[in-house]
Amino acid sequence: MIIETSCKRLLWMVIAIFGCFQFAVSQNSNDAKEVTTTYYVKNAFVVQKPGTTLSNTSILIKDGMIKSVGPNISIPFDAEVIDADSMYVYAGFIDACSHAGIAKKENKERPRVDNPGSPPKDLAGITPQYTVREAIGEKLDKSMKDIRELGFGFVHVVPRGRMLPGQGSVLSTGNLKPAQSILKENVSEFAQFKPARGMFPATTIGVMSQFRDLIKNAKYSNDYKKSYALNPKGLDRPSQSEELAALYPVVENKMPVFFYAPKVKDVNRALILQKELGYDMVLTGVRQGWPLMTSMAATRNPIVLSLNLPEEIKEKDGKEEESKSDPKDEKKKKPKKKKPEKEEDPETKMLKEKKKKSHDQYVSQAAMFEKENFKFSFSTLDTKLKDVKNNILRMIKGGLSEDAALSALTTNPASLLGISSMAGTIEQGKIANIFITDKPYFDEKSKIKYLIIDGAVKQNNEEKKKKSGDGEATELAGVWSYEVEIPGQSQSGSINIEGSGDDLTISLDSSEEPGEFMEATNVSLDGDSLSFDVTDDGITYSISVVIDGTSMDGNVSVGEFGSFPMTGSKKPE
Amino acid sequence: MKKYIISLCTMMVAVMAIGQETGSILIKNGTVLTITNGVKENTDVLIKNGKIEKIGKDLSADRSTQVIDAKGQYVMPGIVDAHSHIALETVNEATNPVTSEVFVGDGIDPQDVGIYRALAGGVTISHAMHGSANAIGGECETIKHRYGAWDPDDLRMANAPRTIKFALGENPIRVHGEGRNITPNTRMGVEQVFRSAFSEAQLYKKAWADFNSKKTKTPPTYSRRMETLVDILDGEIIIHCHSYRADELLMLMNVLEDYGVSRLCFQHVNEGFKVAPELAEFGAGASVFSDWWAYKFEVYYSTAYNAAILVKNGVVTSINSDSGELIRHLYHEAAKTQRYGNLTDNEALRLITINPAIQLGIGDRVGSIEKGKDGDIAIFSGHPLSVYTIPQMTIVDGIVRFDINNDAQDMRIDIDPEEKFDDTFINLHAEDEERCMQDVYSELFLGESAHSHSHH
Repeated sequence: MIIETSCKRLLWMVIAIFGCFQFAVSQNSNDAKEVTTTYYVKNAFVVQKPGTTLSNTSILIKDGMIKSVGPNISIPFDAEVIDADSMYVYAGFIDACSHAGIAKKENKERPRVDNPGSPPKDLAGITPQYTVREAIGEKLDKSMKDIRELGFGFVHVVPRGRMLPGQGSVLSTGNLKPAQSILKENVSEFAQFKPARGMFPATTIGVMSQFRDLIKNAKYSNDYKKSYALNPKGLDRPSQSEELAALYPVVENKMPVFFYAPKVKDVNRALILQKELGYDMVLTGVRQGWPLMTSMAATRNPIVLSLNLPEEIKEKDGKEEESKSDPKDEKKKKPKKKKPEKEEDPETKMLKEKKKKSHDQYVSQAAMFEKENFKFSFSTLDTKLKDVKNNILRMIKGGLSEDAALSALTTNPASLLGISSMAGTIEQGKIANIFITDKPYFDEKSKIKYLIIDGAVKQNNEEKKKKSGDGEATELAGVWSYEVEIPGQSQSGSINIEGSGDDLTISLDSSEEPGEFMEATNVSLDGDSLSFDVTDDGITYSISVVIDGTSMDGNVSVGEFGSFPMTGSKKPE
Repeated sequence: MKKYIISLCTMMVAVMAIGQETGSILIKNGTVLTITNGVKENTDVLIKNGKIEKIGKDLSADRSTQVIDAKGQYVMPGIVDAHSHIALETVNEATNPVTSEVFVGDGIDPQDVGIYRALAGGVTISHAMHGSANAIGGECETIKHRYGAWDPDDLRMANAPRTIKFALGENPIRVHGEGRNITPNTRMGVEQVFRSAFSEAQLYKKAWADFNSKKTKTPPTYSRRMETLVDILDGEIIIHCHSYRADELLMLMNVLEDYGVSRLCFQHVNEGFKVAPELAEFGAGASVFSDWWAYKFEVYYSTAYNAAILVKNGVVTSINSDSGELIRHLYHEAAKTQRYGNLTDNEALRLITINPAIQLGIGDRVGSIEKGKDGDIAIFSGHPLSVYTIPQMTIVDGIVRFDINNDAQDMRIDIDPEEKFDDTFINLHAEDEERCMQDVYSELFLGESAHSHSHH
């Protein structure tokens, strides 16, 4: 048994090493093939920029760029025509701050250090030199695709981490290869009041102190380095600290600090540090900023509001009820409901009213900022992506104008990130990141029909609909066959899926041991994305596939050995 | 909807303005306990724009001034607590025996309902302190209880002198010595931490002086830790030192004498009565509990007469809470010195007013009812040293922040819209824990017992 296990490991290792080159090459050739690079969006309502909608307008896209926008553009012979009659076209949204594309690191055990009072910088969360390119590594995380499907064409991505996780870059959501996605690299320094674990700075006050030390030392070090460059004679060699060097652009006001400040106290602290240290700052992920609007206005810092709203409290029959009560609980409650309802305890009632009032303030924050003439942007940081659109609609119900909402999703972040000449509106010469909806976007029922990113159609819901008939969710249950492409060989087997929705049971076997089904764990189905883990002989295979009708396409990642393409199809019953 | 938004916005503006506001109030016909100028029956106190303008009979004020009838009631200066941890998000940066670089003022939490509870006990000012995990802890902040403000800045008492927390004895030894086997592992080690830190600060100061006068060309590494220590050496910061044993009190005074530092106030100082003359000679203050000891080994030897003995020996003495619960009845705590030590009414009241104000370096601005001082007032139904007295109203800068006749059930400001009601009840009804050692166990010794009762 032990020998078998190590054999299997060895096999994977060999495969991984041999496969590397071949794999990289084949991936490249797979990706680049598009039938055409010319698209013609015909006769749509084009929401060119906030407040400007052109009717009966067409857009010509060629080689990833918007070539022309207007009523009477001729259709080139090689163009794929998208009939968008009565549909609405929007400039791809811009997420002003997000971790999209960067995989979440698993929570490792807290590291032990010899001297918690003076730990290594990286363990303390001080890595301002770290880049998004490094953070992403070989492959963009699936979250980038998820955010794209919401209509986002560009994302200002910042690394994950603690107090100074690294520098942010602007990425286009179109290309799944990191290097090609980066539009503007290292545009910001990301900062947050997140202490280290069990070492300095272990508290918010420690973070504040450490921040002061770093910025001040970066200033001294930067000045010294300059005078050394002029005349090094008799001078000590300058500091070689990577951390300080990364902060030079900040102290020279060439790079803004994006300070994550969700709560009012964070806003206050960020403002205190900026006042003392004098760098350019953007307050980002602001969730509860309204009490400090006056001081925020005085500093003229750009503001990025959070799209994360508190859980919705819906009013029902004049009474408030929490929207997301556990469905199981509701079932239990049902028979009780027939009894005459008891008079609510006055203390509970009072607390509920206070909660509702607080909830409403969060929801109308954007409206308050609009009223005070802030030009704010939006961020999905800490926001469940499935809530994004609904939260925007809730803010609009709370008083935010649609134009201001659209500005916060397009033109404002474009100018904040310095990409206005490339993005934010539908104009000639801009990058062709657009999406097309069947109804105006801010209509509750609107759906994205086409998504064109970097001039390529990334999502075509019209076609999908035709393929799968009435467009209803695929029936997953049944027996599927699968094949994993491992360079030099392939592995196959079958997958049993039982149940539906959130209640799926999955097991899997392989052609080596047919019928020896292994139970899958961590099963999750999100839309048409299915993922699960299978563990065999101590090796965990993480499978993630997209289901399209009766076929599946995705990959299986095998811990340290890498990730391999996987396809499958449903066997007829 | 629009109407709703507008009303919401006006409400927010109103809330925002609260912090900076000062008010005008005329308090009529009370028994005024001035602390520094005797007791005045049937006397009025006029506060204008946050400052005490007049004390006298039959005062009148313009229409905009709120008039309060205090007939049959007692009017005293707002109570000052020289040792507290309310309104703080974090208390201990326990990662190093010396953390003079941190400042608890960076972690002010103006929405802590504990501030309101303190107001309900007549307390208008508290000394928000760093904890006692480190020999040299962080800088502290003197806050005014302007409850209702959202902005942490609105709580800071402008231009109050800087203060810092030091700690002797078992706490720093347990955290650093026993916890990590580094200095200090003994009481001698604690002394050595002070001496090393001050000596290093002297070198740091010289290194910067050399750089600034161009004697050297490479800038030294900037260190807030050292900057703060240099400021202590330069007399800009008052040391407030967690302490119990008499031998250690003498030790710290010796160390400070060696480094030319004189601004010192001992906290807890349960064996202060043994060395009261020495404290008086040094000019060190003492901020004590009325009758609380024996909660750990180094504090077994104490007495309820501690405060009275210190007072009689000429030490500037105060009684503090170090607790979100005790802070609500510091007037009771002060009264105990009449049972144990026969202090006069005024001597007892000084322990919670002018004396703690002096210890915080704000004795010229608060702590007594005098013309020109801040309009911080507490009004009681009976004499504040009576066990039957009930606080009626607390005023900060001429603004009523607590009124027993207008005391809503839920005074929380920041309501988490996602909080579960069970948690709300727990949070509202929970007794405030002792916080001197807060953050130490959760941050540093996760997994070890977090039960650390009363580690003062």
